[in-house]
Amino acid sequence: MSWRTASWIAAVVIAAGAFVYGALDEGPPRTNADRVRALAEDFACPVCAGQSVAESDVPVAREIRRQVAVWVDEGRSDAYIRDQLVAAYDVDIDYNPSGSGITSLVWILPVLAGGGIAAVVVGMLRSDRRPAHDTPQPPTAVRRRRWRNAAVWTVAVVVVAGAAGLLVARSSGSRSTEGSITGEIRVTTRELIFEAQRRLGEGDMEGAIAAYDEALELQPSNAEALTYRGWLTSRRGDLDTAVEYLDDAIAVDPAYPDARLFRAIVALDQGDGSGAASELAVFDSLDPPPYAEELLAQLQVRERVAAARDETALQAVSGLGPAEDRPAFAETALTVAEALAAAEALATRGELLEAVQLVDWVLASQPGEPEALAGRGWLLVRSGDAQLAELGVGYLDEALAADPANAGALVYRALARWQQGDAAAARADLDAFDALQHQPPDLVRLIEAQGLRAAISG
Amino acid sequence: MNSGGRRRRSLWIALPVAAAAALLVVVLATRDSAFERKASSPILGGLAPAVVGTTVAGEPFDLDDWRGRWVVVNFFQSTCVPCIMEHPELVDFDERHSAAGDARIVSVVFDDSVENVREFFAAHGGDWPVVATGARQAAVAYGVTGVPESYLVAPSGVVVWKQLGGVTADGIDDVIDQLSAPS
Repeated sequence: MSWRTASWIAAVVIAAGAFVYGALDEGPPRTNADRVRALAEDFACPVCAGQSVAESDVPVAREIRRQVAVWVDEGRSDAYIRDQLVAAYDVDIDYNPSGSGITSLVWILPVLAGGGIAAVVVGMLRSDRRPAHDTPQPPTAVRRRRWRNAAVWTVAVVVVAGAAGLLVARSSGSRSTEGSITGEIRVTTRELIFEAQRRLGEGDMEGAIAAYDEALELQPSNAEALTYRGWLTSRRGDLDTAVEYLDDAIAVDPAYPDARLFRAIVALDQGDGSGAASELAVFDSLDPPPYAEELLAQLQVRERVAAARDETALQAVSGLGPAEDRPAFAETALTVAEALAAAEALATRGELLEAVQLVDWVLASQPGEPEALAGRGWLLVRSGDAQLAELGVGYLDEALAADPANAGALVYRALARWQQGDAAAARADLDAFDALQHQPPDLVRLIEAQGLRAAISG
Repeated sequence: MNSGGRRRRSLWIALPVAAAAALLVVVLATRDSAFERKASSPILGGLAPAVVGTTVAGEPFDLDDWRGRWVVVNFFQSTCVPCIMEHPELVDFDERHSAAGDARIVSVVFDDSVENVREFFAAHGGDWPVVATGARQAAVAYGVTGVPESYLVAPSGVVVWKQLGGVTADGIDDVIDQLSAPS
């Protein structure tokens, strides 16, 4: 084969290879989400057999994925993330072992083996060729021309390959004169979330979801985008997927009130009253913004959560059998709060007597229990009967004698005193409540709902 | 080709292959088993990774503030049965050392809700910091693979011991005694 033919073949092979590479290679990740996915695929799940962090859904893999997303959004390099995970989980976690230490053998051994085999093959081929001692050497001028031709063709091959590379780059990329040097990220996450909110305001739910998805592509650990993507998903009826988005949002930012609120609503939609109550309790502890409170009221979340909690508690009590056959309260696993919630469910149904009997069942085991005394007193105070209300105040007095800082007893007695026309006594109880270190939100709302402050302020 | 040449060629092929295989066997034979690697940890012997965040009580927490004491960093989940079983041992350990203040516990929530954790501690006792916010960063930094998982940090701030599964108060004290004993 002549030099010319060999060079053309080389040029064609290199150019074709460059085009195939350009067509098949996906290039570097374009968004943060792409990077998170690519990185997650590069690490082994530490407790799974043959699954990557991206594939596995065990808790440790989920935690690693979330942390990788946070690192990526913080702008950490792949090398930094790799170092952090290897430092914590050892080199076994890395599907692409480094080129240093004992793991370098993973790279060196195949090269050694390949090189050795190649050397053997070359040696065999050369040994098969008999040296042609009798062939005359070509003249010097001819050898020079061959070298010059070889140099010219080598340069030509390099030029063709380089041109092919440029063509591949042009066909793979689409950066315009106005494009940024880092690619095609047109807008920031903030702008995309704003766009999603605008679309939502226009009633375009699909457009809003698409904008949130785009925001999450850029910043997978954005708590706001995760939260609202989860919320919109739940409104479409896909509660399981919604839970995944919302749990991710809570994992990223446990103090984001909107995520807690939506998680509570989704838990309610799933029939999980206690889960909803837990999320609502966290939501209340976070000093939620006014719009969240408005949404809460609009969807009657508190009422639904309370009703679900009370019904669950009532089912637990009912599971103990009829009232007359029930074991002593102290012998059950029920808490006082659960028993009072069950009594509340009965009172809501209008079964006041059964509710009072239920609280008496608690007091039979724990006679001086302040919460139970306050609960019994409140059941009687709101019965609407003056005599029962007076009896109820007696129970509230007992509760406060046992625990002067009992928030419920203070508020219930203030309401009772006000109903009885004793504004001064009501004000004293309310002042004592206000002086407490912590005012339970449900009692604050009860005071507001009853208009107690305005009524006794004069 | 004569038989001598074929033998020489076979020898040339066999030698690198045998050398590579032998090297592979040596590498595999001299490495720890998968179980030993799991029970070990690359952070042992190094400065303890940060545990910085907010506790379930809403208090800020930074492990570095406890430098000078033995610290048990315990990763747990309220619904995990081994965690529930080991909890009385942690309570016992805490009570043994609370007066002297020479050793303390910090629990780190792993894939669990704050409310569940509050209920867990209300039901099972224990009055030490439980880190919730910042817990994930800590879990990944310590290389936690499951719960319960505990690490003992020496007063110097170095991680000296790791326990996969439940701990016992006596077990932790034994480790502290051994490491505190004069050499």
